[in-house]
Amino acid sequence: MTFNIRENGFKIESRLPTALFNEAPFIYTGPDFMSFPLGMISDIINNKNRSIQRFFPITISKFQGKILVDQMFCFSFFYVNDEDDLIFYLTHPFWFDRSNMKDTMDFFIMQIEGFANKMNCNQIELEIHENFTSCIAYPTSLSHLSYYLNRDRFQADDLKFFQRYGFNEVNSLFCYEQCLEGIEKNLKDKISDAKKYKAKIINQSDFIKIKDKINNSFIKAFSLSTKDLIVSHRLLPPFNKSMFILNKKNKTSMNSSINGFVQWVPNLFELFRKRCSPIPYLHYHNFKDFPFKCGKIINWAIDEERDELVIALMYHTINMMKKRGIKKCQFGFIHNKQDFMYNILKFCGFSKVHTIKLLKRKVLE
Amino acid sequence: MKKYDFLFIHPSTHIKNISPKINNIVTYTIIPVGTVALADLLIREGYETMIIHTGIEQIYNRNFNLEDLIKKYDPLIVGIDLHWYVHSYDAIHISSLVKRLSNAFVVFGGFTASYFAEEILSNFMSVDAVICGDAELPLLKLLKCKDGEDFREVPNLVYRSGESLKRSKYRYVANSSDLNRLNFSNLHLLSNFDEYRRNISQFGDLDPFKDKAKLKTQGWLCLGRGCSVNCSYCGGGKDAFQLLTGRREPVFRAKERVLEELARFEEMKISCVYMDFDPFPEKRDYYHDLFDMIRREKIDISSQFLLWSLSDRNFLRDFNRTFNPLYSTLTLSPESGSEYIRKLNKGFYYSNSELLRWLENIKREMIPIQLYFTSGLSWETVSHFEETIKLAKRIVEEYPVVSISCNPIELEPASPRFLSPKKYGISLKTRKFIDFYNVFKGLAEGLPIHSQLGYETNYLSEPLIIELSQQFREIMSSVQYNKWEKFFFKSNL
Repeated sequence: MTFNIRENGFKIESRLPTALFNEAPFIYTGPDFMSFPLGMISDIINNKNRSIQRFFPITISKFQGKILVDQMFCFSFFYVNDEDDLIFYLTHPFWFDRSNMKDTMDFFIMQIEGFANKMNCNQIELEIHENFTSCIAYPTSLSHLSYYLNRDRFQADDLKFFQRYGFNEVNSLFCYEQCLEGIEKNLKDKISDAKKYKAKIINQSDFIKIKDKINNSFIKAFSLSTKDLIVSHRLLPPFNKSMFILNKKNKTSMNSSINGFVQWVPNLFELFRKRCSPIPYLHYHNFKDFPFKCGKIINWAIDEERDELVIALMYHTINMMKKRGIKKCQFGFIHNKQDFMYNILKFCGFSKVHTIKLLKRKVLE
Repeated sequence: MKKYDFLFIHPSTHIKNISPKINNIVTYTIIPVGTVALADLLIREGYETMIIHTGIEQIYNRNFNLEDLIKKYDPLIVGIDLHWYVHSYDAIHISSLVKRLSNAFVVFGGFTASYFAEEILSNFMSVDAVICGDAELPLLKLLKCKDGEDFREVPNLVYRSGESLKRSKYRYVANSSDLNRLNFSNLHLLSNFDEYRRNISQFGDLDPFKDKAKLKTQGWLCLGRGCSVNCSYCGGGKDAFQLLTGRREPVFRAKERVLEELARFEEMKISCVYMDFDPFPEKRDYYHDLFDMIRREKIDISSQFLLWSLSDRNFLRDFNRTFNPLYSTLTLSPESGSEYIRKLNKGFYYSNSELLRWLENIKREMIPIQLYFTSGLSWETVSHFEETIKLAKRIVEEYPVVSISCNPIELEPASPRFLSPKKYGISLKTRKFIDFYNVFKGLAEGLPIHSQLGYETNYLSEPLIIELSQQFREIMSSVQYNKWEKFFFKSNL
């Protein structure tokens, strides 16, 4: 299924322009990544006895005479949330041209509403990047397409603009950053607390099983859905010592005693930012020896609000990152209601470097 | 109602599936790149013209029917491309419709039509003439002829004159400056061009790409004409060109013209350009210069470049820094894993170790690759094909392959194998145009066909050739799956 509608001098179509990769480099690590260079990706979502296409890369362009001028791009997809509702999710729209924003947006909203309606979907969600004050490590998005965030291109006033179109803020997710040296210094007096927990390196299969098993009482990284596997399980290769579980030292059996877990990933932008490839996994041969400088904790969970547990989690993570030569740590996908996490990270010297605002809009029938 | 002087019609190939559960297919949907240039030439000479792609029209307009179109436009001349033999039936079918509904003069062109010109004109009264070889000047001359007079003056033309067939004694072979005067990028002359640029890819089939998110738009670039070698299976090799068009040597278009067209492609939001002209792999100066110009002009476009043989690392670097990496790939056709078979069949030979060294460079330069292998080559045995599977497995496991395919090698009219089957160790089941016509008629009507490939070799039967390719695809699919399963679950990066 493809979009291709022309109206009032505007055009919406299923297309990802090459200019996007120049102006806002990105990495795609989602399903069917191998087909990306061939110009098409496929995935199907099953919901309420229906199968529908998941991904819709949308470009809005405007006719200037016979010439099409691209105005905006948005990588959109469907997912099923934990309430079993079908959601149409939009990544931060990228503006090629900000001179016709209102008209472009009027057209865009009209088109996607009609489309969502046709697909029996009554909610649209939108992610907006805000307040990024550092080089934000991969992944920067809840989607499978992560932009290398650049202040000139993803502007702060985008949020207000979309709010004017009935998108209401429902969640904020934060990413924090601190150098490993700084974390170590702040944790110096807490090492004994950290050592109450042992870290056990696990493999990808165990990690997936554990992630599925932990219940909702865990405090954990934000994810759009736990039901929709494509959204809940980000496809990440197993970097050495990048996944572990934490157990209190006197406990022995694995599943019953998990107090927390972590998955971190080196910042793939360091290797792929310079416009060389949007699909890093195809070139994984380069991962092993690349001197990554930043690591990002992207999946994490703790079974209760205990300072010593988060400290242990940090302690073991930075030890593993250090072995890889990492100098800087980012801690991502922390929900705005997780004050407890914020306080500990503050204690370790972390500062907030990126906010993802999640907005929602009901689809008018 | 607008009346057209000349209407170009592209006949897509239709395949009717016998099982009601499987949709019918519209396939082989790429228009020969020269069609657009021809239409543009006529427009510039003051003629009213347009190009109709029957496949695109059918898919995107459920109510489309050619009959209405012919009545509506009432063209003086209808040009139907029969370049690839796969359109043998559909081209004739369209010509019959045109003749039934109008008084239009029907002319065919393209390699298949050129090779079978006399046979087509003898057997199908719906075709009035065939232009053999380059068609630019002949079309203009044809339009200037009134009511079928003076066809003798039209170069490259085979035509019906009373009960007999005549071939014009004038030969036209486009030279470099002729090609430089052409514009291959006036795609607005193609009805529903917008759908064409988004939906046609090298994969051939035209379906609404169910469940696939379309990312790229593609354009085809004309870099020149001709070839310097003869591959056993190719109907567009050096000798075939000479036989069909009179061309002795490959001719390149001026880089400046190519550059202008790339700029126009960029303006038309074409994100990837298909480049398939590499007749002198030993000396790729033309491309180094062209790439340099593209960089200087800052043209932002991806490229699917088909290498006709291996390249040095310098070419890879140059390719990498010239084209947007989003959809850029290099395509190579080793055809066989057996060096012996490759040497016997391909015009450009390279050894497996040279191929693997090249692939190491590909890996270092991080360029996605597409590879084509085949079954049914001359003198190939099952054991040779095992070498193909072995080599392909290694390549998939170790290198950045985004697509690897294997299909039985086709029987192309005017290819060395077609012209001298005995010499190449094959037996033909399809020799004449009517044989090709009947095969595709059968496919279009969902009827049994006598031969899918039109040949068998001294070592491999037709079913075995088909089965070997099928085996290859199944094995590679599982090799790909295992590779990525290992990567995500067993690697330690």
